[in-house]
Formats: sequence, structure tokens, C-alpha cells
Amino acid sequence: MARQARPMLEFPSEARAYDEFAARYSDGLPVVLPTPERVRAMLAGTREDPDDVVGLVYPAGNAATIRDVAINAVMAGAEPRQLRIILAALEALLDDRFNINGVQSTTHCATPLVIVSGPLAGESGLEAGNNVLGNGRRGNLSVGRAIRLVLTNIGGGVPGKTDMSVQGTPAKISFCVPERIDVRCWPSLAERQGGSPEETTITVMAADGPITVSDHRSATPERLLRNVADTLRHMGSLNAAKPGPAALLLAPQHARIIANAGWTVADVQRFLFERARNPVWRLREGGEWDPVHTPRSIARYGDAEDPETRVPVLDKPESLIVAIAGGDSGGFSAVVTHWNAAAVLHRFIDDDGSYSVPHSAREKVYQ
Amino acid sequence: MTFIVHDPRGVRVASVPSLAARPKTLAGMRVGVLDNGKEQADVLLGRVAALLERDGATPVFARKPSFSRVAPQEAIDALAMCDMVITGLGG
Repeated sequence: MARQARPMLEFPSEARAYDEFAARYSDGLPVVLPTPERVRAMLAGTREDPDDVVGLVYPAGNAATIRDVAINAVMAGAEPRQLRIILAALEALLDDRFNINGVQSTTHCATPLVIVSGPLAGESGLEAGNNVLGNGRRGNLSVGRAIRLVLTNIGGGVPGKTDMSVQGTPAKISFCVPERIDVRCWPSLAERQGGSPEETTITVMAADGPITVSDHRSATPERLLRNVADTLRHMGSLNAAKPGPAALLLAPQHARIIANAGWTVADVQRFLFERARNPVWRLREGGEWDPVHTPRSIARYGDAEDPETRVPVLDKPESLIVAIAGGDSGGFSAVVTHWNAAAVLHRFIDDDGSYSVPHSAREKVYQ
Repeated sequence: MTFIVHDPRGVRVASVPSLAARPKTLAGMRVGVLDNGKEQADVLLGRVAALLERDGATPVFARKPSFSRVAPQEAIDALAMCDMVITGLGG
């Protein structure tokens, strides 16, 4: 399915374009102007036909072609080698099961979390070390920002008009996390998704902003993960009243404590499935307990009428996405809870060294 | 000399619909009532439906299982047969 591009926009001068273009088509900050030369250079980052459609972006329902994504990637400050990551993430985000229409329109702060696992992350200029979620990491920031610009400019997710988020979150500007695949505590996320060490995956989840888990005292997985469990089960998250997916971005220092005790990722997932729970009496006391939906959501975990029934935050152990991210020193991990009407999806990116997005990408749905 | 940049808005697929003509009477109209699944939406819209019926309209109920998702196709098909549709935010 190929579609024609829109006509070019003309401004009397570059200065006028800089001001007026960013005022209309941006995340609020100035953007790199997508001149024909810059867009051409960006398109060198893929072998795909620029007119091919990646997907429809709701609520506007406009089609995003490879060229349209490249235009927004230029605006975000991305490099051509990052285009394949942006395209693969968008393929997953524009899958109906991800419910981008809901993510874009909700009053919740939901935003796509994009985790990149595999060697293409580093080769594409993403940086998984210190401050991985913060400033100074241009690759991570540009990939996340390009996705946000696609959602805003092509999808029409305009704050206060169709994007009804009450407060938003800084993560809505950009939320792309590469995994520390060099920290070999256990197989990488991509390998656990069925890939080889040479393969790279993109995992997407509709997310809250991250919550830091500070812990420099724990020397055992049990003590450390009880702290993680407490953070996961906070009553303000939608997971509390409706079990679902969540992500745990483990600091390398924390991952080593867990792995050195012989624990696998499956052990972490099982422990947190069991420990990150709230009793029904606590759920009824506050938070998002809804007498219509909540008893239905929690029925499989016990009697909703029994105050002592312990309701998990995760719907099943494997719904916890575990990735290692951040600098080597320091006991600071992050927990990311979920906006509850979107599937977690992942895509493999071609590992043949080309800048190609496979449309027949292998995929797996978590829920 | 002008400065030229690409338009970042993607390709328009759907046309922007215009507002339908306003009905002059409710008598004999089939009125779809879409419950978005929020708590109490059924109570509020049930009351609206009763008032519509009093004015001679025939309500057609449909429900979204989740207010965060698009209505299921059967609900959309049922509502497509109506002369007008009412929905609203509950909760």
C-alpha cells in the first residue's frame, strides 16, 4: 500500500520556518527543520520504500509512511541509523492490540515505553549506561521523541484537544530504554523473547512514568525484591486494582545481587508475582477499587469478598518485563507500571546489518 | 527565496465528517444509546432512554466492555442502524 506525500510547506525564510513550524508541529520544544536534504539523509537509514505505510495513527487516523516517520525523526534530532529502531517501535505501537487510540486519548498519563534489547541498540547510538532514562543520552531521547512527534503530528494527539491527559508525565516527551546486554547476569530480554544474542528486539508497553527504587542495604534477592514489590504495589497505579504487565528496569548492581544468589529472571518474576500484592481490605480502603470491574478483574486470584484475599499487581509472573539498565555503581532501579487497556508487544529487527524493517517481523504478544 | 520543509502530518486517509442535519422530532426515531462502560453510565443513560421513550423514540442499547477501547464491531453495527446515537461519560 503506497500513498502520496503531502505537498511541501513553504516559509518566507528559515527564521520564520524555525518559529512558525515549531509552533504548529512539535512537542513544545524547537525542532530540527525537516528540509528535503535532511529527510533524504534520514531515509538512507532504511531500505524500505519511503511511500510504504507503517500504520494508521489514531485518533486522527492518518497514515504514517516511512517518509513521514523519517520527517518526524529529523525533527526529533535522530540519526539515520536510529530510523530502524523508530520504525520497528511504531510497527508495534500501531498494532491494534496496543490500542494507540486509547493511549493517546486517555486522561491517564499513559505513554509508550520502548525497550530496545540487543546489539543494534548500541550500534544505533543508544546508550544504556549512566542516566539511561535521563538527559544527555541523545540516541535514547531522539528515538523516544521521534515516536512522540509521530503520535502528535500524524496521530493528532494534541494536548487539551484529543490528548486529554490530566497531568501527563515527563516520560511523554521521550521514554526509550536500551538494555545493558553487556551485563551478563542472565540472558538478555531479546534472548528470553526467543532471539539469538545477535538479534535485537523492541518491546512496547503503555506506561506510567518510572518510579525509582533506592536500595543500598540489601545483600539478598529477597530483601531487595521486597522493596521492589512495595514499589510495584503502590495504590496509585492502575495495576493495583487490575492485575497486568509492568516493567522492572534493574540497575546492574541490583541485578548482580540477584544473579549472584543463583536467581534467574523467572525466579524474580515468580517472587514479585507472589509478593507484589495488596489485600482486598487495602484495595477497598482507597485507590481505584471499582465495585463493577474490580471484583471481575481479581476473581481468578481469590474471593473478592474476602478482605484477606491477596491481589497481585501482575496478572501472571511472566507479565513482568525485566531489563538491566543504567550505570554500574549505585543501587537505583526503576519500576514502571501499566496503563491497563493496551497489550505489551514486541518486534524483532533485522540483524543482517542492513537498515531494514521486516514487515513480516516475528512477534509475540504478552497478554 | 522561500524556505521549504516537509509536512510532518502524514497522509490523510479518512475524510473529516460534517455534522448531520438535526432532527426536528424524536417521534418514531431509533435512538442508539452507547454505554461506555464507566460506572453509573448505565444508570444515567437508562434515565435518558426513558425520557426518549416518553417522547416517542425507540432506544437501542449498546455497551462498550471497556471505556478505554473502541466499541466492538457488533455494537457499531447495531448503532449504525439508528437515526441518532447518544453516549456520555459516566463515573
